[in-house]
Amino acid sequence: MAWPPLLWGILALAGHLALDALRVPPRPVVAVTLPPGAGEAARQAAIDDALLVAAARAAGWHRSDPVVQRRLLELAGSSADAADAADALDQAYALGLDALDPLAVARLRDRARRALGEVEAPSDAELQDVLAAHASRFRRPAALEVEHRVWTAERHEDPEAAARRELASGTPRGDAVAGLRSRARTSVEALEAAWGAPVADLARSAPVGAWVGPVRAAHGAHALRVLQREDAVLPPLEAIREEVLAAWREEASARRVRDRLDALRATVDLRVEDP
Amino acid sequence: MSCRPSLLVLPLALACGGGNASPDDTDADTDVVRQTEAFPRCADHDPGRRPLFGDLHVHTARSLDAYLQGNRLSPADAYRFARGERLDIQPFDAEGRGTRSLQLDRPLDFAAVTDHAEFLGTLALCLDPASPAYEDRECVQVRDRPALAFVGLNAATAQDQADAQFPGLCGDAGADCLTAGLDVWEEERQATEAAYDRTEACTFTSLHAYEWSGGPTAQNLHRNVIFRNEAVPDLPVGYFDESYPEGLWSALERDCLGEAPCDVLAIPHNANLSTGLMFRTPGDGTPPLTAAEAARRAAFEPLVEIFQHKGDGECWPGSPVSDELCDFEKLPYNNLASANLGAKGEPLARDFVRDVLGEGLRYQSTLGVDPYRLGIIAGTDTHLGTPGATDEASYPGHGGAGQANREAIVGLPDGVPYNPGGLAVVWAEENSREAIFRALKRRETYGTSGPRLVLRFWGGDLAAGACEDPDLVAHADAKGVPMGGLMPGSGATFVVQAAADPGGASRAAVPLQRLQIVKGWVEDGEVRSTVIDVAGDAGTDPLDRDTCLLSGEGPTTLCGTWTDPDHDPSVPAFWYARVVEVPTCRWQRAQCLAAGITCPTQADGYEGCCDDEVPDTLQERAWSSPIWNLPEGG
Repeated sequence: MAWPPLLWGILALAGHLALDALRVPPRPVVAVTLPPGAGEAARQAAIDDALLVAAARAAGWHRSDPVVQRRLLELAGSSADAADAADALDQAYALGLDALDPLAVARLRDRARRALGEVEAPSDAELQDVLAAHASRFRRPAALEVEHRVWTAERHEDPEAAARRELASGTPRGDAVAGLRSRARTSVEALEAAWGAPVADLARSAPVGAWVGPVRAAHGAHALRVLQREDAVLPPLEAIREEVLAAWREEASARRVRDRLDALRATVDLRVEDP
Repeated sequence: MSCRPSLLVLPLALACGGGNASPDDTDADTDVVRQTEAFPRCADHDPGRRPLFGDLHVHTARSLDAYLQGNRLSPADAYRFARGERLDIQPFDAEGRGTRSLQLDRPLDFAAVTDHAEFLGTLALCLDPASPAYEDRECVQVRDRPALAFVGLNAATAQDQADAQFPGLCGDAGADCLTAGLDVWEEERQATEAAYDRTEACTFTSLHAYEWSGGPTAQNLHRNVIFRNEAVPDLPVGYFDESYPEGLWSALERDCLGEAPCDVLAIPHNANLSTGLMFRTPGDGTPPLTAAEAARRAAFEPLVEIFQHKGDGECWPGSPVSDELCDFEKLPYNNLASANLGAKGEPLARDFVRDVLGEGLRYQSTLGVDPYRLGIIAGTDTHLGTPGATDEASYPGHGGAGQANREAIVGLPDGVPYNPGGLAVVWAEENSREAIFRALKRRETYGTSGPRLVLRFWGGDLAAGACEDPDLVAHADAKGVPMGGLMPGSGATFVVQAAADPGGASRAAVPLQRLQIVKGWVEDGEVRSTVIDVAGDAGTDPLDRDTCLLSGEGPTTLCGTWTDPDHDPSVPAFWYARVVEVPTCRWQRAQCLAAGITCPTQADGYEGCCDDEVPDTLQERAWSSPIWNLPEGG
């Protein structure tokens, strides 16, 4: 993992701050030239890139990174196994190609971004925090055990009247309809997706144990009897570890890069040129 | 290959290795060797089964063509979309923000991200400044001239099969791209695992998958490869690894089926763009299949994607086995190049499912094996990372062979011959990988052209009054077989039920027009077909073409029974069900109307509003998997 050298780089930059108290030396300068007409997001991105490159250079990667070295040798017309490789590299550094070549700069920037974003595997406690912080996202919907009947307009001139007649008998049978489950464990959301909002509303408000309806929806007249309700459940971590881990990964890496870039920014003398 | 169940809690922990190295298309229930989760495991398990709606054909920014067309969404984003989250989608602005927003009005039950296997590593190399290939001319094109790279680098999948090879930037034998592909496949794997609901609530299922994307001389041979569980090979197999479908199957035998609990199937799509190459048929110039080849094909490929963004594949209007409703969402191209370049060419009838099912019967007659015992699904083939986005009025364009939508959209979001694609539906006991994969293998599946139509179909010794039976499912299951099955005996009564999509926030319920059974059989060596209306009325048409509004009512449930008077158990035959809605406005008509376009128009980007060759209306539909009668023969 590439973190320790970068840590040294950041510490070196931060060290300048510490020395401020004793010698008040100038802080390291990071210069940024914004692209013409840059908006706020482009401005922020350009500053971040400059900070990343500065951190990489402070870590010495412009001299030690094999990809940068290979690139500089290529620009100098040499290769790593050539006899004059060391001289060629010196020449490239003397010309400042490590700071001028877009590919070398991009390599330093991307390596620093990856290193800043690297995070250790989270502890269970950290994952529990993510689970708690995003409980609504991870919660599973409330469940219903429900009996469901439909009387269609294709079979009954007046579906609601047919429904009422059968409901009055106490043993409603309804019609055979494609996809209808006469008794099922389901959710209000699933009922809405399959049968429409009026059926979902009926299920939402139905008391346990009694037939309710009929209500008219797309497929005819519906009646329901809710047999059991279960509250929405926040699953335990072990049941949804991959899901929580993905959410953590997504947030933690981006947050850590941001935090460290902000910390880095506070240690330098940032000079932004807006042409 | 390494099987990777170890990250997960496996109720049935099974060691890697061993197992049967041939796919099983008939007895999935007993195939516990390949099972990595308990079955049943969901609280709402229902032996009577219910329809689950999904999309098994989805591309994200990890597919080279999608990236080049401006997609920046990840596999994790695509799964979030499938689960109902609103996403910002392409075109993305200079600061990386999606400039359009989209959300499904109802989450999907399941999905699979099927990024193209061929360029997973290539694209990663081209976007990584640290890679030796970064400065390669083709990589520079990927970043700076994506439209050029789309017809350049991306066209490597159109190489001749004998010469198919990795792009030069991939190094010797593609080693650099294969290595880079490991991380991308791992990202896909992690996203798929994270999206799967392993709790007993079973709210969403994600399936590990990819697309093998061979298209020799632009003749489409693409297949989506779908895995049963989390045990997957280390890398997908692409066209540069194996350039023939048979090679793909061999690789899957070696890397998956030989390494239980891995299990897999492949689903071909867009034969309409294959110019005769997708399905080998007697007389097409290729050697006839042997019985072993036919059996292998049927075992690996139990399904076909009948409908998607790049057109309908049910039946070609000019075919002897066609009917009047075959004239539906036909793309006026016959290969991938003509689709991308807009050069029209008439497809071949033998590339369409009904003809292919018929050829399968002829093989059954001669070989005793039907290589084309194909169940039916549909999909979107979205290249925007938006699974299940099938709504006509809000259609964002799906990219791929259609309009790129890389930059700001002026006018319509796609070429008018293209469409929003459809959905895959499985009749499953619960929403879990195990249940869905079993349903796919037994072909108890159907496809829709977009709406959430419910379609159920049985055949066998069934009662003529079955539609009035409130216990229809139990009785039909007991005395017949559901879609995808083989006729159990001499009785040939069919029951077919359909229910309209109840609609959601973006679409009101649309009445059904007709419920039909399509029969195909072999007579004197020739394939015949007939279409029977079993319920509904062909005259129902409440659409006001001027406003796109429906006036008046129509049925929202249909049921019919039909006894085949000509059924002969000794004659190979298939029967499938089709339900059609009443006419509604096609996407371009709805969007042109919303934009206030009248024809003729000079409005930039809206020329398609006045394209007389593309109808303004369509009849959305669903197609069931067939039920077959396959007597011993040969």
